[in-house]
Amino acid sequence: MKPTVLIGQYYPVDSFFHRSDPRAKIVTLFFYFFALFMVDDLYAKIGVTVLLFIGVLIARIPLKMLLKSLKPVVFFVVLTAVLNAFMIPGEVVWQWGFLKITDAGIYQGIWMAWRLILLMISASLLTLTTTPIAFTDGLESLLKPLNMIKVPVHELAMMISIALRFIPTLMEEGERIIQAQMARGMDFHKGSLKERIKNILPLLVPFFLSAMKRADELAEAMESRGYHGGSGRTRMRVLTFTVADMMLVALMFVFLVGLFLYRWVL
Amino acid sequence: MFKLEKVYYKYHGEAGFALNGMSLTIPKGQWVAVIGTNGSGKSTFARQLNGLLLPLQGKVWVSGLDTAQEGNIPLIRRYVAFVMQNPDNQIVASTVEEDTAFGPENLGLPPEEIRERVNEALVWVGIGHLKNKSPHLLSGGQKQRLAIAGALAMHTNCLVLDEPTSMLDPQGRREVLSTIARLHQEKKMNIVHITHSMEEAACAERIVVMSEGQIVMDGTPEEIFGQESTLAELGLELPAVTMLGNRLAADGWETLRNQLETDGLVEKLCLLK
Repeated sequence: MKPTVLIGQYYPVDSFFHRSDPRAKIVTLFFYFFALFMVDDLYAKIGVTVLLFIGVLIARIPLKMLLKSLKPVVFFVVLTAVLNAFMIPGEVVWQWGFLKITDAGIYQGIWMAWRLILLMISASLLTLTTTPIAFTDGLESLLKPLNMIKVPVHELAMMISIALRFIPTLMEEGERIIQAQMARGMDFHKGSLKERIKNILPLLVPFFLSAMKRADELAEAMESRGYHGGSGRTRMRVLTFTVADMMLVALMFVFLVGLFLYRWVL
Repeated sequence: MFKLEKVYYKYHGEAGFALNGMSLTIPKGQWVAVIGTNGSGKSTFARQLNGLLLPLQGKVWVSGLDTAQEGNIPLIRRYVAFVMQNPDNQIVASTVEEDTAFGPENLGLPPEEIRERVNEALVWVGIGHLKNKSPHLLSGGQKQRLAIAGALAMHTNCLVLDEPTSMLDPQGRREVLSTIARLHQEKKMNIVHITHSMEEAACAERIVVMSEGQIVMDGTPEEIFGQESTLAELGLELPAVTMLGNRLAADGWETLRNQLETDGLVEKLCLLK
């Protein structure tokens, strides 16, 4: 179904990453992002690529799913490669008027595009192996220290999880409203751009009205069930940071430090 | 369990009173159905029972606790659970078991106890096998039973249901109604069931009829549905079975009058010569 693609696209198989604590995965991903931006020579580039490849094998996610997650960024990947190829100074390989492609440009362009691809794949490795609930729980737990500087962490996490809960419900509702307006003779595929934009209005008004009504009732229901904010509230699902999770974060950290030493010290 | 004393309530910006000096006592463990036409104040009454709305005048006591005192509200919400009309808008979490856990989590219980209560409640209402499902994939009847499971996991002793079946198909209605009946029999729960359906009201021990924010009739289903003309004046009908029986009675089969259940009518019909 469509909504599951929208929200994090969790892919249910059993793997080490699927069982890992979401906090460990978020921190590891964060370290990996750092590593990606620190890399500059060929060996380091091969290093981060191999590392991600190992990650993909561990997660047992089929290649097709990973390629699918690249679809939204294909445009940016191509754009980055092309821009770099034209912009970077170096030995000219091809020239047409003032436009010229350099060898350094090609090399840099390919690497930039590849870096974007690695970035996307590593991020989807997190979303494909983590349910939206576990992800919000993990985020809430990691951000908890921000409570001290008055960031409403619990409230934000609750908002995200309610939004996730209502995405499918609201999508069904949208469908229904579109059908209802079509039954009244509305045509969404005809007319000029201006007309089409105007046609969206009769969809938005009932949609927002009903969403407001839902929000009202949900607030009543939550209050009736004793909700009083985050203080004094416990959770059924407890996140447990195991030795394996510790190892995952530690290994990634060692890799990061190694990369740092390789680039600046050795 | 509940005691209302001359309760008045008016919605902001509206001229008339939604509750107009309503007084009512509901003893512990009773199953009460509340009927009345649209705008008779049924839903407003229901929201007085757990402090979602507070009386402008008069008092509401729940297990001896005054709802007007803010300190009593957390305890009252533990005693009284609420099931609303629209099944979608009362589900908070994105899996069935997480949603059932929402109430106990608010009570601050330890995780193992929450899990135990959740599993028990889901199995009891008969949706234990769906616990990892996303709620939007459930049928209407299953969603309302999920709401009831949420109440059970709170270990409440009273359930207020505000037209819980009006958005369901006949199958869903039967599921919810039989769950309500089991709650009353097996769990000895106090039930306050606001409904439009006379057939559902007939299942209760006591029926309260509301009109213009006041109680106009109060009695057992037999007593209430025995007064066809008074009900008609209030814009209410008899259950279909009773109506059929009464019409036959008017044609001379006097024993068929005031039958509330299909089985009862069938039995009486079979006794006819």
